[in-house]
Amino acid sequence: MHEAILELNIPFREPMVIYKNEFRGSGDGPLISLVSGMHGDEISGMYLLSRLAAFLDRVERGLEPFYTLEGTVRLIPVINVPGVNFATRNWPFDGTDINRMFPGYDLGETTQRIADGVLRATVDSHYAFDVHGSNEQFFEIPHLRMFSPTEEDLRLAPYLRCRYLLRRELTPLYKTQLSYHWKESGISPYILMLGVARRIDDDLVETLYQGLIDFMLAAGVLLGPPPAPPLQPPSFGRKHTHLVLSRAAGIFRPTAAAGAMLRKGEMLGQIVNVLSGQVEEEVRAPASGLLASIRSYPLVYEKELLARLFTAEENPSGTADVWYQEQ
Amino acid sequence: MEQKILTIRMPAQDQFSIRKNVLRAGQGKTTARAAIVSGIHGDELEGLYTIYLLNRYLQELREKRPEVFRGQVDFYPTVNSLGLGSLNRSWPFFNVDLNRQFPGNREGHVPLQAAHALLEDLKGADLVVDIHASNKFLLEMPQIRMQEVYAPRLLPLAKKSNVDLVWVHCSSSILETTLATNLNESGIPALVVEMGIGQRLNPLYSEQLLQGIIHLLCHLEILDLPEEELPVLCAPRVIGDNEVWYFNAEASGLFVPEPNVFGAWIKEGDIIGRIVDPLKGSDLQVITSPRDGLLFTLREHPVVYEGSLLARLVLQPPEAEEPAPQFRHAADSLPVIQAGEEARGDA
Ligand SMILES: [Zn+2]
Repeated sequence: MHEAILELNIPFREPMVIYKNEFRGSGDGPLISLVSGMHGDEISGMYLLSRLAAFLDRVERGLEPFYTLEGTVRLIPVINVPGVNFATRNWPFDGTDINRMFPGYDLGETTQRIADGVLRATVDSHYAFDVHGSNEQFFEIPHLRMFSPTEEDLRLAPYLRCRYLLRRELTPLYKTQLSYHWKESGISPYILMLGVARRIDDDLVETLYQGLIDFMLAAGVLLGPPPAPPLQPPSFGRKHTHLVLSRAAGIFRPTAAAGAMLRKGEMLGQIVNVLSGQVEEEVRAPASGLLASIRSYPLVYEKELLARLFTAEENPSGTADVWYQEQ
Repeated sequence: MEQKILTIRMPAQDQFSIRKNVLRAGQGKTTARAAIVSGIHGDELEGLYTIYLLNRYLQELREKRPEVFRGQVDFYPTVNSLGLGSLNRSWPFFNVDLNRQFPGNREGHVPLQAAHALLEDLKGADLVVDIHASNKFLLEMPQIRMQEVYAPRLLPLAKKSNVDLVWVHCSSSILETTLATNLNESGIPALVVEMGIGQRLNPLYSEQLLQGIIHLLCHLEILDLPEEELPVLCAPRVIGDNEVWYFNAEASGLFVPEPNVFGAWIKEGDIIGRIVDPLKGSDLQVITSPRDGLLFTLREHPVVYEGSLLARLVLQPPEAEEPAPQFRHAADSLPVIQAGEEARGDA
């Protein structure tokens, strides 16, 4: 069922509408909300939600004979409507990041009204997914981010087939983000980080599409054939994070691929001086572990994040902040 | 004495630094240290000129009458120099708001390191004045904004600052990552000045604030000027959230303010401006004031969305016998960031 959750007048043209597409099951299963397109350049998540919409539509029409919908699935695929239309990450008029405007305010500025509308439209959920991608500068393998997950969260998370789970603490840095307010409202928030901005990774979307169907089966939203056995993803927090920072500035050429398991000291790439062409720095893994993400935009400043690596052993420096600008 | 608190090499064979200038008394132990910061947002220029004026004034004073300059003043006029040079409010390339990165981190991207370096460098200061302009949308009369938890310590200082208004607002966790909150939290009094408009200069505002900062420096005994030499201060009106009336656009279109409403006393029923529709040739909204008050914020950027902040009024103090007025926004938990300032306008 298509329904507007928010309508805003846009100067000099037609009003903007944020739609939800809601599928209501016959039973009294839980309510799951999925949002994407908060950032206008993160397309994989929007495509993922459109795949789910097509699937649920088939379920509703009896074209997926093995599945019935017990609960309710609410899809809000595009939040930053003009951002999607203009291919900009932020709100195009004033450059604000909608995911820094929560909880929002219904009498406030445009992006605050949007934030308020999205939170209101999802706050009755049992499970809520905020689907994002990485930006273009950083390639990340798909993963799940959660605030202090409960046991039930950890039971369900493995169905999603994410490569790893990043545990975050509820710090002030996140207070203006949607997922923080979900958590505060007693909803289990799942932040899906899905591919790189501005393009669609079909394999990734397919994996997560199957993963979300399995998640809904495991959560009782959907009835159907038993889900694939859950893949227990490794889970990392602040203490297991290594941030690799550049020591030189110049052109970074990676030699390792995100997703690889690296040994301590293994090459990650090199930084070349643009003027002399000399290798200024050989970047090496600071520990053995999973190379979760690596810089894809080639030019780097000194002391910039080149890679993020997770280790099983605790990082003795331990203070590394897992936060950075994406999502 | 020019110093660099952080230097970063950039890919194209160049580098930038966060630079400060330290003015210190010629001899003897310094009495106290004040720091004046500006340019954290790259589209805010009012503080740069204020620092220029104060810097020049203090250098002259130190030269001609060294005995009255007894402390230390540190200037950090262009913290986000990359943003300033490219008219970016945020930190270019990384596209983050520097004033949401505090306390920063030594291990992090460049803006986090910049925040860390600045905060570290300000430790030991006896007073920090962080000068912001508004964003490019709104023109503001000179004001100091503070969270009420810090008001007991900050209010006496703010009253000496020669601003028109001191706005004490509800404490907000959203401001936890600003420079001022981090300083105040660690016991260093930090005043946040907000005046003028983004991307422009209002030299008279800088001159007005200069007089206030001179008073503050005397208060800290950094300057030892005789009372009769001190500029006469205007006492600011101290306001709470419930004394501010917000005008938000009820339509999307082109906002055209009435002439001479900014900084003026407005009467109930006065027209402040209108939102017009060029296509139909009609007025979408005629904005009239429901109350008397001083118009201290006015939108300068004419394109408005429904909800855009158009103006703010500080209400005339209510008559004693009048019942407490019902304010549209008084009960809201987000009063100061109400107008999207969290991300755009506010410090
Ligand atoms: Zn995102």
